[in-house]
Amino acid sequence: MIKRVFQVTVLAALLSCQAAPQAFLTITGWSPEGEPTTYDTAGLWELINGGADVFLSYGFENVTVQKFSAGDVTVSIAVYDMGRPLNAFGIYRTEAPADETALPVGTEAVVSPPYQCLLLKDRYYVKVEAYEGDIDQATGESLVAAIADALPGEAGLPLEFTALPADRMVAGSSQYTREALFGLAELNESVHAAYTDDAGAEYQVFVLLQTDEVTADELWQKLASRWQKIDLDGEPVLYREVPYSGLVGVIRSKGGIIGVANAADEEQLLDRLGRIAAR
Amino acid sequence: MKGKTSTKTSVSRRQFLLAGGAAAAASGLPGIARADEEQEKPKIKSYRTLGRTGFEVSDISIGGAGKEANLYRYAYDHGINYFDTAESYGNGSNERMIGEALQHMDRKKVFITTKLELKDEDTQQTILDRFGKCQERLRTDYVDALYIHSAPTVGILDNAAFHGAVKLLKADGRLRFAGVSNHGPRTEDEESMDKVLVAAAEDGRFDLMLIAYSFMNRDKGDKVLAACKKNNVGTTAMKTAPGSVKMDPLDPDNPSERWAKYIDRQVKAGNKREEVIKEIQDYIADSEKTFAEAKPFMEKHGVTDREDLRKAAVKWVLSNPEMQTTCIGFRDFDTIDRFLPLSGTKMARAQALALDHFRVAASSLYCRHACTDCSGACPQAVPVSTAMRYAYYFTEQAREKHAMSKYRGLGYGDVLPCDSCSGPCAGACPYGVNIKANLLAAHGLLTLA
Repeated sequence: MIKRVFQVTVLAALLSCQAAPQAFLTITGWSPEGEPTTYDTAGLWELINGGADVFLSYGFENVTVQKFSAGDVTVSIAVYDMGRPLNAFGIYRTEAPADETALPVGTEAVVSPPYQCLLLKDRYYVKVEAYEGDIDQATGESLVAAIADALPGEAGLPLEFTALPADRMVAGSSQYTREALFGLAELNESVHAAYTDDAGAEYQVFVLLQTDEVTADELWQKLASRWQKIDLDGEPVLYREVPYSGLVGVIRSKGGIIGVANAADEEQLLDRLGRIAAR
Repeated sequence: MKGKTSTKTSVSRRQFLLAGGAAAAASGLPGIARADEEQEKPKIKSYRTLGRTGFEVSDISIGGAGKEANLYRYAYDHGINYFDTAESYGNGSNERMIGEALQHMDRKKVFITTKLELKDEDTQQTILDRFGKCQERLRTDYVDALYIHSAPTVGILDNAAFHGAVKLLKADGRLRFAGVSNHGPRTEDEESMDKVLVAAAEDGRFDLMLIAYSFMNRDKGDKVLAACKKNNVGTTAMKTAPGSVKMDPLDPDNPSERWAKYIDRQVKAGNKREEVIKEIQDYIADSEKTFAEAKPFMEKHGVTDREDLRKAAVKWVLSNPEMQTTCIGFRDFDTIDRFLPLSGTKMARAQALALDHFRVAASSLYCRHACTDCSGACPQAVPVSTAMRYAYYFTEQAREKHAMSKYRGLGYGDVLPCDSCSGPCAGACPYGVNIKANLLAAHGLLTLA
């Protein structure tokens, strides 16, 4: 079975940090326990069982896990290498509790006392879980900050999100969904976020990403064969109803496809699409 | 081959392997799926008693659905009343989705199960705490069943911390039943699915079992079902679709890269090139013959693609009254619509016999979930069951990238040791599967060689 214990030097080089002996990350105030263990795609099932599915769907490459202790608290730190920042963002937003306050650490982090902290930075998603003792808010915040410092890479949002309009976006609502956005089999590989209209109502805006497998033209044709069509100032709009959440519709943007969801009727759909097109 | 199942049939092992194995086999079923799909608004038509829980469960249930809470709401509005989730599914995000959807439902009319994977360091208190978090995410006063997630051994069934927590939760009215899930060992130190789940069914403290079960992989599941029936334990099927593998054609003058490497290694191993080519050609000829024989039958009954096969597999499980519900991981609304018409349907006797015939025919060609009986037979320690599971993801779940990524993680690159191996694994499979041939086929598929 694929489960390899990496040598300290290899991990230190991998993560571009000056690791202390027996540690794969240097975390100020925390001491490593035992050796780090790395699991690849085959071994992930050993680590998280059924939870592996969602990681693999987001392009998981490997994870290195090690215990660290400080005082009465021992934590398990798992650094997931997701291959690219967008994948790491997708799994982070999937797993991060929506009701926790996001911290501006790394790209983003959340602390959920007393058990867990989550951190996103570049292509890395980090999961800290209490093994012995409790993680309080202050401890959690300093810990994720130290881990963020030790990880290589950039702290900003993945570049794909620049395709979404910034105006009226609800903070912290952006997400990357690889399969079946809104439960629709035909909407895959999308970045999206919540927006507010003049009345304060929220709705989703999304951009369908081109991939090696399908171009925007091919995707548009596929949608055109299944969805209804109306006009917006002479430009075609494709739309359909989504169970429980109103209408979803798309228009062509520069070289791509952009859309809105949660529209109550065609009028609202066209209004929202028109505003996006105007931007 | 020295396998135990040497049943003579009109279809050879090679033919099945090359022709898509189980896929080709099941495709020959009469009356599958499409004739059942004519209703415009499909709803669940059949409910069964879920063992000693007494709950009337829909014969089709939903588990580990995609990222949209409304999928659960949609399922409920169409009659599905059993939701399967786990603490580990998306760090609780799947439980949150169900919790959100539950706000639009009559709680008493749905059966919610969640699962905890027991850790060495778990105490009664940590299990209570973890369950409390599950309950918060599910936004419910009570959970219908708590499972031990992927119980690895019989020994874990006696986990005192788990049973202590369950007792307290039941006394508080926060939990109604306990269960065990298993879909086969992940490592050599874990025990087989039937050993673990039969013991759990007979234990007396577990009310429900979640079982890997398909028409191609029924032996271990049938043992579990018998134990569940005897003890009035509730049963849920998962992993109901069979797997299959395929091979690419051979042009002796211009072989594909995969075949070229295979031929090269066999020649280096001392075999004559012409004999190796003939072996491959025979292999492929058998495949084409099987396809030709199966094609009219498949077309007659409208079974032409993998989704039809998956529906057939679900219908086969639904036809077994001992399996009370079949859990499917729906990812989108359309798929729910397409599978709901199967509810309440049963295969006619002739259809079931036909399926059984094909199951026997393909038995020696199908590498089963939850089976590691051949482990230890390979001198190169190739993880046979794991590689075949990835082929299953590729062919039956249409998760090609996922499957290839996972297979890449095994570290074989373009070279599988079987290419140059004499095959001492022959006969190691109790079902007679040709391990080497299956591995080579899976390797070709998963590397797109």
